[in-house]
Amino acid sequence: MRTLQPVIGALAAVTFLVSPAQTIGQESPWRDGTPDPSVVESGRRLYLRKCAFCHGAGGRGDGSVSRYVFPKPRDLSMGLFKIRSTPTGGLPTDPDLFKTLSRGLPGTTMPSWSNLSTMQRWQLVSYIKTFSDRFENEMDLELQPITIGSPKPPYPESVASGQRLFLQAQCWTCHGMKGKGDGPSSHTLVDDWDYPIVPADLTTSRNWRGGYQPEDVYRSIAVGIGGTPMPSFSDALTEDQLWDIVNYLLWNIGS
Amino acid sequence: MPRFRWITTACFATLAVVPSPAHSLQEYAPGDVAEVGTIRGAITFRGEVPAARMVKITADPEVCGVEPRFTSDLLVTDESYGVKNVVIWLSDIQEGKGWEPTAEPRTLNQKGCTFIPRVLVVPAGERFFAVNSDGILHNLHTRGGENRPINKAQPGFLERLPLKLRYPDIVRVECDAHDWMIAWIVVAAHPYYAVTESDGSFRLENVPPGTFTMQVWHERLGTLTREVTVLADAEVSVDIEYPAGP
Repeated sequence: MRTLQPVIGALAAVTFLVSPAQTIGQESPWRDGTPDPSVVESGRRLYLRKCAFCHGAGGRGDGSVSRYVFPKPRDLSMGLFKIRSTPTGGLPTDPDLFKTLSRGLPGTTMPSWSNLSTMQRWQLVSYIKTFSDRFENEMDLELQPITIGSPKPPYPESVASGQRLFLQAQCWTCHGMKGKGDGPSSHTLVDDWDYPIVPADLTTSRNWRGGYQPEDVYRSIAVGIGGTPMPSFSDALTEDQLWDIVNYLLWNIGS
Repeated sequence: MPRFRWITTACFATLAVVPSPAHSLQEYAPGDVAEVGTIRGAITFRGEVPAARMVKITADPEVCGVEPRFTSDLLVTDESYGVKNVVIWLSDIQEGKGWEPTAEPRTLNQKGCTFIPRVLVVPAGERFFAVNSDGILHNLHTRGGENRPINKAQPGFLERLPLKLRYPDIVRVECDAHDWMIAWIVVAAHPYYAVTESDGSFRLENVPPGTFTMQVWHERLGTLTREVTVLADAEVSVDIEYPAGP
């Protein structure tokens, strides 16, 4: 196994270098945050056809099939979304919501809506935001997306450092020592609506809610997953340390 | 111009429909107080106190212990029926004393897998610290209300984590890693807040004369409101009993 390590390292580095760039989540077509009411109305009609059976007509996550799915569809009325690029406590940006609509949430029943046109997805974004008055009330609070620098190459030292940090920061308390999502606290977790929730199984990176590109994983650890027990680690870990954990997850546990 | 018309409509709609958040009602001007009085009293409850809940320790037994522990969100003394951890404040006071400087910043300590204190009063907008005395992973997960919900990890190596809550409110804090850990942070608009001792007693000192609305809040028993009149150089006694009903 030891003789293979340099080969795996080289392969990892090559894959890392050629990994596709993010192509979705462009700038919002209304940069000042106030779309035309006809856009919101189109979003409303589309929402009722495509989204309401899970998320409910009023956006409270109580659609007709909601009781049969796990995890439960998100209640959209509290401005709490799993995926956002802003610090903990912040609202998602329009591109964050667009991205979630386009990619879906892997490992859940939320599918990718990339079959809808770009404009239709933006219409949905504009309508979804009407479910929570936080989007109007907190417009004055400056919560910009965090800066995500360039990924750190996944050299063995970085992966090893990530493994040490995984132990020290006790990611295993929820995710388990081998990342299977079976840590000692995994059975008692609930989301912000008090519904039971399970930690991510880190061994299947394709199911990670926020995506598995290095930047996605960095963001999930840095700002946390909204409305769930997954906290923000940006107060506890440096940028360098966060990238080390990203590398450990991508090139050891999750690969 | 449809866009601008829509914005105008939206602004009016917002004014009409969305109630003003509580924090916008809190106007308080600290200053010198010459003539003052004191409010003292006790909060009691004679109803049935539910048995303490047994929690099984699942994580970090070397720090949290291995024996099941009993937690209760309603602590009532046997002798005087006094309730601990009740928050009392004057909700409509507009002038009065400033915050007394504290030697050390206010802290919410995580020790023995318990938040200490369970109820912490902090001035709105002022920095305070979450302290990790356990050396294991805790997290501070707040819910809803006037302040934005946050969820911050505090691993064992991060001894002090600065926090700030902007708007007056009572914020529930939980640790997801240890599901029995609960605390309440009372974000105060002014210094006229008190938390009852284990015998249910409380004191609000240096209160300017006047008639005020006194709010009484307990995590399980809920909120009560009383009117209280304070006279200069006098002590007014306010004893309140929570109704014993279901």
